[in-house]
Amino acid sequence: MLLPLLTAVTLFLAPACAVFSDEAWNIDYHFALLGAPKEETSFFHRPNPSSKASLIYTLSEEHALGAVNPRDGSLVWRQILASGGDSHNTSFLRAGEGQDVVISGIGSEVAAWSAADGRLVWNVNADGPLEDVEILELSDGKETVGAKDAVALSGGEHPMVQRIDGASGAVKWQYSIDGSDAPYQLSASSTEVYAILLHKTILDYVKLRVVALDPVTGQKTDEYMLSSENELATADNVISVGANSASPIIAWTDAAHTTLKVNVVGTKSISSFSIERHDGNAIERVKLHAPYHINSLSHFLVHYETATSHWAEVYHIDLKNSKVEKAYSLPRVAGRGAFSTSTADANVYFTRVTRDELSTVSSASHGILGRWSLSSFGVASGVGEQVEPVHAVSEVSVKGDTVSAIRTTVLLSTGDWVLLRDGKGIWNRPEMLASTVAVTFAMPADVVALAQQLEVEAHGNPVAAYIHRVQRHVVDLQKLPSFLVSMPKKIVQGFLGTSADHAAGSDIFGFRQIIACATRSGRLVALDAGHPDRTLWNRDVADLKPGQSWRPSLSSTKDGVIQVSSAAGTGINYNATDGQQLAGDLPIIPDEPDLSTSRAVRYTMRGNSLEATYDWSPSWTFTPIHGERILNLVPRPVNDPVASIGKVLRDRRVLYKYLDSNIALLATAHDASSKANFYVLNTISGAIIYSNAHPNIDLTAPVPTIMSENWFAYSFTSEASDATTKGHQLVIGEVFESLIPDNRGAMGASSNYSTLQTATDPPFTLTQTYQIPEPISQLAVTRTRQGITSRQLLAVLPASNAIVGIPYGIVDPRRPVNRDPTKDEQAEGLMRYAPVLDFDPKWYLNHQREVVGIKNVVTAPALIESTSLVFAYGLDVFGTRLSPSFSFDILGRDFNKFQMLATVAALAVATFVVAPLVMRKQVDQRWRFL
Amino acid sequence: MRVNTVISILLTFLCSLSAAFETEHTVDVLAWPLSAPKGATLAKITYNSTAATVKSYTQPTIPSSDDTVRIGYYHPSGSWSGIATAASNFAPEKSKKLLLHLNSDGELYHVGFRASDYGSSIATSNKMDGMSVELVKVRPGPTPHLNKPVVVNADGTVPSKEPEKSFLQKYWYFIAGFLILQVVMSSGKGE
Repeated sequence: MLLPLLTAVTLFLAPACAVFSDEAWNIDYHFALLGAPKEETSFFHRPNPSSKASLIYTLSEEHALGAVNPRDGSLVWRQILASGGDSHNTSFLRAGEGQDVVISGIGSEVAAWSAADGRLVWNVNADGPLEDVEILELSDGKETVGAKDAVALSGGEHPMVQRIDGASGAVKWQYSIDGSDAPYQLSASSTEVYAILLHKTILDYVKLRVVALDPVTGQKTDEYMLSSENELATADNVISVGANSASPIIAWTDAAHTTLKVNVVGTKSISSFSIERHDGNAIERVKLHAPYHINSLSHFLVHYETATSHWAEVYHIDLKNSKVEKAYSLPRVAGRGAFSTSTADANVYFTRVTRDELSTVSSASHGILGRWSLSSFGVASGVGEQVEPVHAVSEVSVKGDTVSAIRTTVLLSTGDWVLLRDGKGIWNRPEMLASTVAVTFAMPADVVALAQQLEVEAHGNPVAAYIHRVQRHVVDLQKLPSFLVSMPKKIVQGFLGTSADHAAGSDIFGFRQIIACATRSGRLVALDAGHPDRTLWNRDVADLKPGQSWRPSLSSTKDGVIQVSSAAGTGINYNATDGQQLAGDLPIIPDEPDLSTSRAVRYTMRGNSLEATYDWSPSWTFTPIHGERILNLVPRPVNDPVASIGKVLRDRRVLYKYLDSNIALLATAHDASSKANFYVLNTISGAIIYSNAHPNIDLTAPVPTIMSENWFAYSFTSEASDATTKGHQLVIGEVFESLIPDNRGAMGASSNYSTLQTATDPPFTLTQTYQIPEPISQLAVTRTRQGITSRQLLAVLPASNAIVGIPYGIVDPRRPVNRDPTKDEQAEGLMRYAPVLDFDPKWYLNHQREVVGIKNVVTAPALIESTSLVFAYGLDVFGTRLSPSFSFDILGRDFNKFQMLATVAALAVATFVVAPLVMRKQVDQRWRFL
Repeated sequence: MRVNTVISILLTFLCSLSAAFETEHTVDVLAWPLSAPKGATLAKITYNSTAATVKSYTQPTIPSSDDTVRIGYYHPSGSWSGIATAASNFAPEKSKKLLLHLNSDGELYHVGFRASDYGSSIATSNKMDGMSVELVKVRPGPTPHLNKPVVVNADGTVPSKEPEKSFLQKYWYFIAGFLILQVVMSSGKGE
């Protein structure tokens, strides 16, 4: 008796809890990313020295500095650091023992950030690009109480070493380095600061020059050259210069990796060790892992890597006579591995991550203190691909002779950054998405498969089609048990209105499209737009060498297929659902004439001009005049359905849109006169349809452009002049066949025309400018299946890290200027023009989240007309669904099926109860009447 | 007063004179059938920032196999700018019009071409053998239509609004009419 009651009560509880939940955090998703962390700039550190809790700090390859909570992988804070230029791509991040700041060095700027909240404490600019930044753990030979000072080594024309006050950022002393030697790195021991310089010999070999400085005064105390003979061909062979430790070391190998040479900085003796070969492959990389703490044991680990395996050796330094001795070695394991160093008091621990195991050893002896087997890292990868660790950072706590707790963050070869706690995966951050360079949407193949089967049945002969259909249903019957199992749950969810998009498998609305992202590292990552927190697959598609870049373009020409094309020109197809490469015999070479398109006009941007070809011979050309450069070119999208060819006015007359699928908006800039020109071109004939010129434009600011349907939009930052005010402006232009309603202009009623033959007067363009409060870096437009839904202009606002969706009606160029709208105009939704367009808080797609570093926004239509899928990428990844005309063809989340059914049931009951009463009353009435 | 007028008229005259004598540019517009190795001169046109005339026009010879002709010109830097149009547009019965697109400095940056079947209404002054020319100047970009600025007095204060008329000032004639009516009616009663 009680049980059904309880069930009923719980059933009512669920919707009661969901009353105030908005769609905001349900239909959209946001990954606040940092980019791939670098090994030397990632570490665990306690932001508050008095508390035990630590955060993971990293300065990533995307120059994002941030702190990540190791408990759940959430971002605590981040700062995007501007690099001084791409050529000098080194960055540093240091944290002093027991300090509440972290110190970063990038470009020529040294900055200190509060470790707890990421606020800037101080920053200093060096004269040249930074070569190294270190923290002086000991000041004047003893541990200081307050902020620890930093030492920076900068290169450029006047290389120098500077000591920067840790509390204020003031330069305490600076030492200019004489000679032409290139500064390389800094090392600090307890008594001295060493600047290591690279000296080029006549034979083009490199020698190491060490300059010892007094940390208190900055005076040179010693200088010597290490006799590296002719082994050091390039600086790449210097594998490590230990930084802050009791005995900093320099280690290098020869080019063939046969001997390892180690020098304890401050002495001139060099210990030499021959490197053993463990397998047939040549050693590709030698890395050195040493503790970064001044009072830890002076032990270090050398990590050797070949193409197929890796191993390591641990060395001890005898502090008394500065002798280096090999202590023990860690066995060879197949695959790549990562080592990390952690310290507890003076003890040093090395943690090793291999494909399938995590183990910790003490630096003193080779006994394993803890070992955990890793079944998988829990990340998506390509079919048959082995996920390998790239580098790791660990925090170890040891009780007695065993590891009581260990947290290790590992960057994997897939680009995921995962945290393992005692060998179990706790979280992963898809940091590979921070370097996304191209994106496309694709429909999953299973949706397509049904469509294909139906196609087969529609075109086959009736008997064969019937057999095919029966077979299909037999196959479908196999899914019946699982369907029956899930049925009750579905019904309950349906009643409560919670099933909207969590029903796995079926996707009747087209919300669960596959988003394929190509990353800079040559991987293709697929996300599910319905369940974005789960990576579908992640595979290597371009075999890139380190430092090599590619510019892929992704497209989904056919449902269920993702095509990757890069500068090489060939397209390779992948299955959208599982990432399998489809038969390679479908290369699409764009320059090969094929029958359907040989009479097509193609145009490309060559140098600083647009060149078109027709029938494979040059056709029209647009060359900007001397001094003018092309900023960007946006054609009308290929798939840009338009539901109505005209705008129906209130009085039932029609303004005909100028709909030409071959138009493009070209923006050019004249730097000398700071002028920007915008041209609407017909891309078949090269004729100019509309052109205008804006003087006094800040050409260093972004000039985004967009073209869709029969309108275009662009934005720029204008300088103050007599005609305009200083500020950011958004211009909208809409092109009509004629401005007279019901008139189709020169085209008249002709049903067919050629842009080349027919004489047409140019169409009419209405433009309007709005002053906007902040610059726009990128424009995009929503797309729906049939183009019935009104459109939204999506604008990326870099200044407030946001994306806004501006309804087209707000920026309509037909808004009446300097007068109130007439009744007819009001009915069309036209408001009186206002020069300032304020972004309504309701337009912000990201709500209160900060979407940082967005470089592009892509949109795709869902299967239902009202909705457009949006995906923004750059550093962060953000995606949502938009219904610019509201969801007119789908029931909202708040629609309660249970309530509706209950109402119907109640009405039915009421009808049954009341019907006899009414009948009796009617009968009574009839008797009375007669 | 009169001196001022004279000076201003003189200035206007000088200005228009200088405009008339503005440097004339000449451009050779070439027609280049798709299969031809080189373009041939289609028209020589002189233009300044306000007007253009066709100096000479040569009917292009177009091979019958070609259905597309490029029309363009060479920039002073040697690079080519041009458009594509159908060869049938050069039929003698068509009236043809070249468009010269000028930027805001009066420089030529692109050409256009239009042909129509019927006799067009273009002024014949700049026409030669069915070829006319039209200048298309780049439009100044749209600017925001700002609201009217508030005009302040010399001392920087906002001028106070005219004081509104009082009720009596606004509607005195109604009251007066009513009173007159009363007086007239009462006098009528008195008789």
